[in-house]
Amino acid sequence: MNKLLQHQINTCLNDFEDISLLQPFLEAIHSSYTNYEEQLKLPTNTSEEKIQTKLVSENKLLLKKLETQHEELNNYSNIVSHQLKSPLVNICTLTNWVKEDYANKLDNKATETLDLILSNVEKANTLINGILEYSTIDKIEIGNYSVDTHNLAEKMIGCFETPNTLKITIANKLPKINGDTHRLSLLFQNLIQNAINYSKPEGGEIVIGVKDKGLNWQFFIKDNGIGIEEVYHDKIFNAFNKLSSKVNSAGIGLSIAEKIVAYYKGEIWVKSKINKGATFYFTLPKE
Amino acid sequence: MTKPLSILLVEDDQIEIMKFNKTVASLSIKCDIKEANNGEEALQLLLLKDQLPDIILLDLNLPKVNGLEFLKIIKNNTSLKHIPIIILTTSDSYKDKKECFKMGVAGYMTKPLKYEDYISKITKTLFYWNESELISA
Repeated sequence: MNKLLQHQINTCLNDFEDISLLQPFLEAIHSSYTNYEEQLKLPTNTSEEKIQTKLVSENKLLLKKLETQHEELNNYSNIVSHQLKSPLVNICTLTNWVKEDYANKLDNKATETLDLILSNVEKANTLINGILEYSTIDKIEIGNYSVDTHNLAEKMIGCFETPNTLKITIANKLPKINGDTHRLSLLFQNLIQNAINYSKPEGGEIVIGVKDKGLNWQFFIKDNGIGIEEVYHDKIFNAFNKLSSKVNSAGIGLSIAEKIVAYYKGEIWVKSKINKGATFYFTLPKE
Repeated sequence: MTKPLSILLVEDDQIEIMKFNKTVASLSIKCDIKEANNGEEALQLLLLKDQLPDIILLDLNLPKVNGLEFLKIIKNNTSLKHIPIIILTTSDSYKDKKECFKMGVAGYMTKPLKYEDYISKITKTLFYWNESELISA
């Protein structure tokens, strides 16, 4: 302790002739410090409640904001797709006119190039349609009603023009479930389309069926096609992940299927080995 | 003698208008086409009671008054609501379709990408309506 400080303390002590006079000061300091400590440790009930109510109302505000943003995004994706589609249609129209009007002036290379323009525009259009479907499929408001999935599956199978070498059958009676035909048709359609896309070119077989799993129905759609490596079992449900560039699709069919299944609070997964076909399973709640 | 099919085309895209006119010109049926680039212009044309169209072809994606609003106005108008309205649009959204049918459209067509498909659609539609008995006011 340096001499100056020592001197200051001594002067201080000298002022108080009787050290006992310091006592009340020390006690006052001590009690206010203890009070302060207590206040730090335990927030009082009212301040806790206040914090809680504040959090709840902040939460509600955030949810409302999220809802509005969601709705805006939904409308936005609708508008964007329609605005994007118009120029695509125009590109096709104009390209066709060039082909027609200058038919005798265009050589094969030119016609090929123009056809490539058309096929690329078609790809873009398919993509836009896919994006639109994906972003709206869980938001369209249609009521729930009893849907005969057997009837539905038969109808969807009938929609596909497949070669005679490909057989699509339903193994057992599919049940009635609560939902709407729009979404459920799309679900079956996408899974059947997928099975067809990756099926064997000769002797392809696709089987659709269902198993009773207590609270749910577990549907399956099984093909004997090229199969899917385990590594990709999760990836295929991601939008735009195609496993073959030869297949002419947007690569969004399975993601839409997953969204529809999720909308009905079900689950979807795949069991497959390369070259050993694939079986897609999905659950839907019982009526 | 046959009366030409009188069509009001409500469409703002100039290329679409050209395409429609070109397609109709190649058909074997007689058509009389009036064009409006937006809902306002269309309503102006529809004020002429002696020149009402037999059918209206309506795009939903219009500037100013959008297609659905225009549709609502027509359907609420006692002297215009009888005219068959056929939607011709790029949108195939479930929501749009349902709204239009609820309001009472006579048909809903999406503009196909392929040129041949477009010609086929328009041909079939106009042949169909040409067969139908229609009233102009």
